[in-house]
Amino acid sequence: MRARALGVALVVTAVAVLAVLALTHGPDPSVEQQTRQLAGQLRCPTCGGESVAQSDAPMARSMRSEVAAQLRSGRSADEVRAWFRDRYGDDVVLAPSRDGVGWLLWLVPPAALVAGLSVVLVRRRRPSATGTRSGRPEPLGARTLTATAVVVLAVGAAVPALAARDRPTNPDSAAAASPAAADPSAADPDPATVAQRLDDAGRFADALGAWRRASRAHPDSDAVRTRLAFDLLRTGHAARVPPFVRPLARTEGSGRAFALLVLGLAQRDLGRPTADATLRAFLRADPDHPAAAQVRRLLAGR
Amino acid sequence: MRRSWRELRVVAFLAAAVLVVGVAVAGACGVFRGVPEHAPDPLVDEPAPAVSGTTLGGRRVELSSWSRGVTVVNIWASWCGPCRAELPEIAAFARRADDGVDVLTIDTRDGPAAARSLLAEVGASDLPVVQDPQGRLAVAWGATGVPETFVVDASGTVRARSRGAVTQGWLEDQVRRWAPR
Repeated sequence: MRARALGVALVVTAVAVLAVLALTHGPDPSVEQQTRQLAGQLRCPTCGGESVAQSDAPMARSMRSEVAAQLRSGRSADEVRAWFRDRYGDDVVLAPSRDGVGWLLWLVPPAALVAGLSVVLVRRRRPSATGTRSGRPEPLGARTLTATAVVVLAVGAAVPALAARDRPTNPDSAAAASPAAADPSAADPDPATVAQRLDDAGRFADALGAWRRASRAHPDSDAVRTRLAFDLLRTGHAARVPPFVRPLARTEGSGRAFALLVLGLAQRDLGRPTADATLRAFLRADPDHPAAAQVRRLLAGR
Repeated sequence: MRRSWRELRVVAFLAAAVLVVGVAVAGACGVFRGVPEHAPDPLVDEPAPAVSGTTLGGRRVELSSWSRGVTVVNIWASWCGPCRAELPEIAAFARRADDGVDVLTIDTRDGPAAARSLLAEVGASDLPVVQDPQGRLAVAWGATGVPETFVVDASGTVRARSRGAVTQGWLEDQVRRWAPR
């Protein structure tokens, strides 16, 4: 029995050591891997729970560019995280910091596990003071269980409370500075603003409704009509896209390039033979558009 | 056999307890949270980030000193619907502003052709525009979307920020509030 307990302890220790080594001394990853890893630890500020690595919102793409540029310039991951904290606040980092109460957040789960396993192993190895007739250890009693439960739950409750206290709050300046941060539709009555925020947050189905309202409020706006068409495309309604963007795609206005892009992508979705010609027209209209590189890859069949 | 079964229950209990702590810790770290409702704005009352880049006209801009008066920095893009309505407001404000007020705009994740075309369409071609094709300037300003507008006072401190389209009225109020007396 003692040998088995020793074996379990050795296995647990070995796994823990390997996990720590893997986390701290792995082979040096490439900048791309580091960027992906670090972007996965940053919260997309407009996407409600998505990381910068997961989100396709324009600002998440910009944040990925910044992470890659800083890593290439030789900054460490900690320095990059600190840089983002300065600009977006502590909440931009999804993992807790190792400063202040942050170390406690890292320490508690493994400490609780080690404490629990230690209690079990000690009880198995050492007969209790009262002993049993056979000299074998008694199972853990109700009192021990209750005490452990109280300690664990107290720690579990104290850690979030400490972390919350550690996080600076300033509701007054927040209300003045960020009226629309929590709910894109709460602060601004202009449906186009609301729709854009929903788009930025990746909530395309919700944005579609807001663009429809915006279209009623601004019936002459080509930009609103194109954005509405783009969200139709992104929510799987490609067949309904062409009537919204075809008139604009035939003009020489400023929104023509984007209209051609949306129209071309919709035609491609629908398997129309005109799709490639429309996308080439988009590239001619705005060769520097952020989507141009992706469209070139699409046309090259990559 | 009975003893082993009980100890197994103890281990299961401890595992569940660790899980509870883990979930509590994750909650404390904000893993389950979206955008915080009352997060303080980290940039307001802090030194303004530098703006460095090339304008649409090809001129190099290195703006790291803010000595003249109040500077309005607006971040926009031609693919952003609300920016289309906001740009004429900002251009009109810039034309009417006093000598001590500067307006600088950052065109983020955009192409120069699309940007020029929109500016011409909304009658805002006279706005100074720094290009930000990779979006790095917008991120340096902690922008979460477009449009966003910042007001920087003469000491180079960010004094106000607006997410979403601003009006001339808002800009005038901010300048009155933060202009040197």
